[in-house]
Amino acid sequence: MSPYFLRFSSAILHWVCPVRRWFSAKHAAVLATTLALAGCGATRNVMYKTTGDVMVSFAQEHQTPFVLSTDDVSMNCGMSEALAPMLMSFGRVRDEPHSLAVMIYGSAGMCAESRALNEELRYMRAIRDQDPAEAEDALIAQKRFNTLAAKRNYEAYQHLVAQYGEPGGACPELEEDYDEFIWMMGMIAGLQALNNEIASGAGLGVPKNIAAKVERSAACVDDDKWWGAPMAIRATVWSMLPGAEPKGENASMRLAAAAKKGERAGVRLAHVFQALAAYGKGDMDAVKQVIRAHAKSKANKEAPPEARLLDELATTMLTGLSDRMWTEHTGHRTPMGALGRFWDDKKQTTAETVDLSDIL
Amino acid sequence: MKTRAIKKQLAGLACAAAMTLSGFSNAEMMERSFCVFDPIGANGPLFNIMKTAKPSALGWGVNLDLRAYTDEKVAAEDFKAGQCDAVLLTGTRAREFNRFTGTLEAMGAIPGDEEMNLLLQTLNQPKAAALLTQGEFEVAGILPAGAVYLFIRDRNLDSVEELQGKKIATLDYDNAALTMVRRVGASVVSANSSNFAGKFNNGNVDVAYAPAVAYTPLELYKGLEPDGGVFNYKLAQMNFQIIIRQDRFPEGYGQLSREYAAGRYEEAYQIIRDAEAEIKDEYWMRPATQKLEGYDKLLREVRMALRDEGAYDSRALTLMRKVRCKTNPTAGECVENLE
Repeated sequence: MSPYFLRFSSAILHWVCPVRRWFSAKHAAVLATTLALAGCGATRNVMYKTTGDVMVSFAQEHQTPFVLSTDDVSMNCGMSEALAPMLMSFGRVRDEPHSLAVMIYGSAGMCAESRALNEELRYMRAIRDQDPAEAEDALIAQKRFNTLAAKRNYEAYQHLVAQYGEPGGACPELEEDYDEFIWMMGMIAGLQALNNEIASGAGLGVPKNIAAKVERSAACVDDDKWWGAPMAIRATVWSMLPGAEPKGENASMRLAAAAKKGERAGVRLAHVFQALAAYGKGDMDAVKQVIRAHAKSKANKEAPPEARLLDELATTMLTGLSDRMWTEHTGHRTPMGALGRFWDDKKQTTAETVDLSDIL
Repeated sequence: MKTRAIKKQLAGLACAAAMTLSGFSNAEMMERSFCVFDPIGANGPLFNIMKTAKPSALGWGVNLDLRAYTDEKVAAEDFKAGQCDAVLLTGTRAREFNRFTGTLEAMGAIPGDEEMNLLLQTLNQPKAAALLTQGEFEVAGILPAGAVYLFIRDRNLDSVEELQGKKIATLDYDNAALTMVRRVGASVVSANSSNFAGKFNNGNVDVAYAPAVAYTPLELYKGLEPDGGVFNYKLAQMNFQIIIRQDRFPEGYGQLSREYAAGRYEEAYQIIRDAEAEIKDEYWMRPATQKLEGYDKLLREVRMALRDEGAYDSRALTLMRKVRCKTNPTAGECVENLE
């Protein structure tokens, strides 16, 4: 999409401003009038702004839904990293595309997180191999990527604030599904920014009250429409932030209910929150159960076409958790096709056999 | 034959020397559990800092198996029951494992970062090891968590006398805090680290005490609105302590671990400074110097009373008095030598 637009807009500008080409008398008249009224620089600005408007609208109306219908998380990651500077540069000639920035910086944050995970796995292998220097090096690399992820996710959160106002108070007017979706993604980016900052060990200035604000603001979107993810976000904060759980509530029960909602819809984001809450508490058996449930549900129900990427994203994140656990215990990540199974599972002995006693 | 035997011995010695120089051989590596209290759990900052220590511990011959605890009481109990070889706790909880270091959080004993740093560096000297060992337990590192401040819902309440009859969210397992609250005539409202912020923000208590690092995450500013304030007087210096069962670790491990912790002080102070800077200037209540001297005196009396009751360690109080007198040698207490 972008190269075509660039070529298109560049062609128009060359046509209008350098005035080296042949053009008709009518064109000349229009151009002369325009230049007379505003000058060449202004014409350029009009063109830039128009291009920016088209780009941003196109990205919101077509690129986002298209990307959400794909299932290649890695490609989405690459696209976000590559496109972010270009899309955001249109903020120089028109309003900043804040809502788009929530998505694009959030996705770019996930790219950095994925690299941080690989370094964490290297760290774990080095610990297993009793190699302190390698472990230390992997830890430093992991922190660098977490620093980058924190910056990107916080950038996404700041664009959310710029677009809809500061979360934590009254709910903003979220007119369309798109706004609700961006709101939810911004909440997730905010929480991730906090997590990444803690993991980086660097003071990057991510406000520490994001978690408390997100807990309240996740309630601004419809839980059923978004596959139980909003309640899962809230319950995860309850389980992590001391004293955040309201009286009469139970984070584990809410998370389990949200997970069921996600399973029914085929968009199993709630599993990620359920697993993260259990991981935070050090309850590895519960983490295993969530990953098992995710793998089983995934095998039984496909994601709806419009949200395939989100379901795949959930699978990628749970695979990351599974890889951590596998690596800690075996030295390698989850084997191919083994998501939902663990190194210490009892082997099934249900395979049918023929009695060999009379021929032996 | 004799030559061959000598060669064999020399080869053995060379091998042993090589092993020593390269650290610990796989056969010597100890697998030890380390139970880490972090209010946020395995994703929290304390757990993360302890994870960072793993490669260094590996170099000292110990492979630490980190376990996250969000409930400090459970972590302390599991450690006592022998289910953890090491534990990370707040100084107050650590008091039952080492009365000396458990006294470092004594009220009013450390007036500022400079004194805290001086104290920690003093305790990091190898000759201080005797003070850090009590029975089978050794303190293998202390990390500063910052000063504890009073958070007050009504800033008109600006002197200790006015605390009389007011409700204070108090950690009920901390004898020292209970004594102090009763001493000023306030009423104890039982609280823990999970619920004190809610009690304060909802107005169930008039006063709470906490380090600045709790201010933003727990949204204590909500309880300060509209008329509250933070009393700018360092009530105590909170800290986290690593306690190990000495016989479960190689000789010298405690000292190495303490030196490692010392390398993290600047990082800890930066976190504390950032957190304190987040408290809006308008919230800070700055008492007059004359009043501060009165509070110092009051807290000193409470410390001595708690020492006489056996809650505080007299050697720790003496050391902290020496630290104060090093930075402020003209203070009256430096002549009185009561602590």
